[in-house]
Amino acid sequence: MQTELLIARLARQAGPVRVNPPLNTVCTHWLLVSVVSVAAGLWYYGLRRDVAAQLASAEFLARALVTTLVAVFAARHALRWGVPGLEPDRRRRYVPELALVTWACLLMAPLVGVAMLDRIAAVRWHPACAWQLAAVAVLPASWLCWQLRRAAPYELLWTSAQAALASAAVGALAVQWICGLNAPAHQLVWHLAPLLAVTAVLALAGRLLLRHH
Amino acid sequence: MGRASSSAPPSEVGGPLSFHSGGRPPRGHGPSLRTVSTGPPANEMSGSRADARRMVVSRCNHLGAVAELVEWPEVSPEQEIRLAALMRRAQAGDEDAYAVLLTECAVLARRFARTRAGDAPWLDDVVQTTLVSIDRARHTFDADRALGPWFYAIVRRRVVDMQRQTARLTRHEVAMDRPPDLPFPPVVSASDAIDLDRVRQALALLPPRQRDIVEAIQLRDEPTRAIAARLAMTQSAVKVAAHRGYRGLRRMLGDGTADRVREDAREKTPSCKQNS
Repeated sequence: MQTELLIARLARQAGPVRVNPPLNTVCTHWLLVSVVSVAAGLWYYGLRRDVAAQLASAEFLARALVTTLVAVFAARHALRWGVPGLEPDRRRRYVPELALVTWACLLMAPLVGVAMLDRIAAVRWHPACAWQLAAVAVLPASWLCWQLRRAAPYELLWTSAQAALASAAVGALAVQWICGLNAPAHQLVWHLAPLLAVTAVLALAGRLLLRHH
Repeated sequence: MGRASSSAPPSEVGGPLSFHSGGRPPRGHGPSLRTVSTGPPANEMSGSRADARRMVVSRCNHLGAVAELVEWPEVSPEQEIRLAALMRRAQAGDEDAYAVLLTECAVLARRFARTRAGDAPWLDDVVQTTLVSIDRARHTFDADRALGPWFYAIVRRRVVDMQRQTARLTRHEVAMDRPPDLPFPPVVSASDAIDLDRVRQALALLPPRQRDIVEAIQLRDEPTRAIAARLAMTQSAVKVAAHRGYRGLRRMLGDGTADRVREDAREKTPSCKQNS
């Protein structure tokens, strides 16, 4: 087809479009959706009993803060990848992953040098954390996917991976307030590893769902 | 948001600008890309040009995104403003503005692709896929931002996609001066062997609705959905009626002609669970 014909056809078919809201607005909406999802998770599964004590623990607060940062940065990056020309530059591209590594370091630091593998191997079977993480992640992931399908992402796998990481991080954040087990080995095996698994699964699923572009 | 914290007034944004904000200087051969700089002081420029430049720089400074201007190669600030205005009108459904915008974008896309890939044979393909992408992503353009980064992000992606596709093809395909010799003579297609007069006569003997459906599918290439809507039938009912029509044709023609018609029909109609 000639370019002129294509232009004429596209112009003829053009109707008014509903412009996507600004990125900040979309991010704020996602944060609200995530808060609702976390609140629903906490209501359904119940808050851990030692919340008051944990709120005074710097370690707990640091983990919660870093997990929140992972979620926020990843969601923001995913939404930026959905708008042509707004993609994060190379210096900031891996900020969410950096925050994730920081979280992993926070978990692994107490284990280093004290028979780390043995302590990890001794972790009790506790799949409830993984299920709860996945359950809480569903709503933010769905909402992000819906928003990204309205956008125009070109790096499908990377975009969906960021969205998946954001959603899984929301789930992990909720689980930190639900699960009463503080052992780093437990959190490594039943909080961080499920987060990575959920991220991988959602990233692959998201890539398929975003493919229409 | 990728908006730098700088909020210097327009007069302070002089000097060379560097590429950043997710972009990099365009590579490849061809004419070098001219970046938009603030250049001479505004009072040395002509009135309208200076005003236009001041507006763009002011807007970008307001956003803290001077780099967005830099990725807008070989385009004047006036054109930037005009194209952004056209895009806003296109988003509102103005067909004329959209046609003008796409025409100018086609020129810019071709120029950009040429700087990246020289006189590659797929420049037209890149231009057309870019236009389609613009059409699909039209709603993602934020009127508060410059159009350049948005547009060139799309073109750049399309050029890269085409380069990858070309590289993939050239790895597996070998260019030949002439087509290879066929091991056997070309086969006469089934359509050529059909006695069309007999088929038409048989068609005329079909019940009106079946004839209408068979003609719509075979002669007018109408999609099943459209036929169903026109005749107030379900798509399944249309397919069933079509297959009954083919069966009637086969019975009337009494030879392999109808089978060949059915073979053609299989290619044109979606699969149907009901066997004829």
